[in-house]
Amino acid sequence: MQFDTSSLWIYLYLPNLQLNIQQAHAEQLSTVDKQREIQEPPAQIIYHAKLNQVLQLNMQAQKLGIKKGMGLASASIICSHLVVSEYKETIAIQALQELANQLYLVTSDIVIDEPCGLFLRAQNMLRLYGSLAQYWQVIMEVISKQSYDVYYASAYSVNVAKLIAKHQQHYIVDDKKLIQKKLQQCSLLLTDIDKKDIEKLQRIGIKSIADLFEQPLSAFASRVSKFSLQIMSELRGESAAKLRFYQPPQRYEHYLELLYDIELTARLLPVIGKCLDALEAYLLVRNGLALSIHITLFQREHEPIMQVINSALPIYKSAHWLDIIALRFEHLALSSGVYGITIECEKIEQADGCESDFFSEKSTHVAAMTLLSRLKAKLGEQQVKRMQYDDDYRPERCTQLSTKNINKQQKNNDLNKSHFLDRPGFLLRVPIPLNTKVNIIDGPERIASGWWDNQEVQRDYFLAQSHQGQQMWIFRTIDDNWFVHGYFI
Amino acid sequence: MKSLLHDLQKKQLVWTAANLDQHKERVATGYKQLDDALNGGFPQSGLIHITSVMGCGEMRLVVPAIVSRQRENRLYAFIAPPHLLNAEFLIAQGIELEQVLFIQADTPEQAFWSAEQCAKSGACSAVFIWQAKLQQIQAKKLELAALKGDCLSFFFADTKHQADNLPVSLSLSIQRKNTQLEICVNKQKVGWPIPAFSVKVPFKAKLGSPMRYRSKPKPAHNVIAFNANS
Repeated sequence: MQFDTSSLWIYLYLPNLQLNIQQAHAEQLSTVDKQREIQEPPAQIIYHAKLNQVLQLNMQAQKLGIKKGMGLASASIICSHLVVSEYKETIAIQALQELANQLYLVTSDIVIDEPCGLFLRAQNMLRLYGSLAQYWQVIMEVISKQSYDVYYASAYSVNVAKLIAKHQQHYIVDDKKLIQKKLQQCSLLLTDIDKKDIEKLQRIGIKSIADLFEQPLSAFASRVSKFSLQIMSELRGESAAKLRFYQPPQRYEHYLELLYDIELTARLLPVIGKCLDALEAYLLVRNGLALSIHITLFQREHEPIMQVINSALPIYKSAHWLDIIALRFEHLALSSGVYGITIECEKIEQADGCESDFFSEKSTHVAAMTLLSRLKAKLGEQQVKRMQYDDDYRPERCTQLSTKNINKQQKNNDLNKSHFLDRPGFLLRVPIPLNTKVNIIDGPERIASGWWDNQEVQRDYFLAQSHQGQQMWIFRTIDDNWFVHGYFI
Repeated sequence: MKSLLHDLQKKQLVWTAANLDQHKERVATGYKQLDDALNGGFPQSGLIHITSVMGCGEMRLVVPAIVSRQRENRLYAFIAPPHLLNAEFLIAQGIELEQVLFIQADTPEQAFWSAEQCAKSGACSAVFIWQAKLQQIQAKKLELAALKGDCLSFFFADTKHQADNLPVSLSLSIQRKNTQLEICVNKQKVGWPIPAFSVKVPFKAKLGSPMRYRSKPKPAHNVIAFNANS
């Protein structure tokens, strides 16, 4: 999307994302493991194997003299007990998306600048928050929840904000002149301009941003690539950058890596409870409800276990979900320790306002739906059934069982369907031969049906009573065999 | 001594006449003799234990009462019946199928658990459970669950296995003698056991030409018969 060059933009520069994330994990571990003494954290670097460069490093490593861009060999000569982790771009990108997700609740236009930055369009938020300072305070509150190293700058052009932030600045102003001044001090090397083009520019005497502004843009047109030219014009504020705004996903997905393996489902539940709290918060701000969630348990030595948890009523509260999940997990056997949990929610239902009044049927409906969810979670979907009546003369076909809820339309049909009055309450699944002495009370009633669908039935039914007082529904087939088909309960 | 009584009362093991109020309203059973014997009918909620041979009309005896106390689309839960339930029978008895919940259980424990959940949820107006045997503690739990959820629970058992000392609201033994049902009140919360008396639980119609008894669809309320005034 294209925007005018008068909008105020903020760039958040997060150069040490992977390192920050790993440090946060290590801190969590040390708080869990209290016996361990608090030590000076070791020198730590994030290393890019292909480029053979140190990309991120912590304070301890800096003190020892390790610098960005060093090779692994020289870094390990400086420090013998260096903690080296390999650079993974996906970690940083995921962290950026999570941060964008959180920021999305307070600001509208966000652009993810992979792999280590975020653009925020401040201009259209200023009216909402009143002033830049107030807006920035809200943004900072969100960011400071994570312990990331963050640098930021504001400017009236996307690339200027990025360039200033990359100089590791904390610079939020909306005065054009001040920004321009700041820009003049910036180094050309940190811009997005192609490295080769920077070299070319230096050969013709363009060594700083200030030099860049002195010449007309047309003077460079034939010397540098189209891409670099575009960036230069953006820096000068002559054209606008093309950006794609971040859209938060419609589905919820959250992965939690456990600090230690858990082998008992009972221990797992409090952890799942924490994940569900996050889901609850997510749904709450979106006024959403969930009908079904997927839980995947990643086992250390076995295939992951996938569980679909359904609720008959859309709910969001973590306590309600945990209630159903606890019932389901009673039967679940873990083969080996669980090291990670994913909670997904594919579809988010919109919560409608309560239409009916407080004292109407609604409370029974909610109770019934909660009951259904509980029963289905514990016994299994197939064990809980609803009944339907099918208008057929063959008694074994009258009753239809289904696991789905009956809708209103079918209900009305049931009422209108005609039925016989004296039918037994219990039907045998398979009629059994009659082998006790009975007295016939009433009958016969002939049922001859089903010649059209090859399930032909011709039986003479009788009401009979045994000496113990059992009232039975018996029938005689054409070849004079007697069977019991039901009991009048 | 006093503290012992206090303990027992706390565990709800002692019923006192002071609790009589909750038994003032009864659910009429639809059978006069039975109503007289039970001080007006079944209790509003609680567990009712019915001992009988399966198929002597035990359900037809209790269904009019539960249909009359049905309100707010509450559910009827049928838990682990020994055979298939017949939808046609339920319709003929005036039970709407939309409100029927049919629960199968693999083990008696599951059946008992489901019954307790249904009874105490407040979503069910009646729970029917068929089991060979119910332990004292289970019966007590079901009774309390039914009281909590304002639900009438029926426990149908065969004569052979079940001891008749369960802590229930009402315990009946039923035996069929030809066209009559002989009912014996073994135990009830607001009265004495009553020796056997007879109640007639008839069939609704005589069999003959079956087409005659197929009930017609109910006319819509806004349709008035042509000769309504005459």
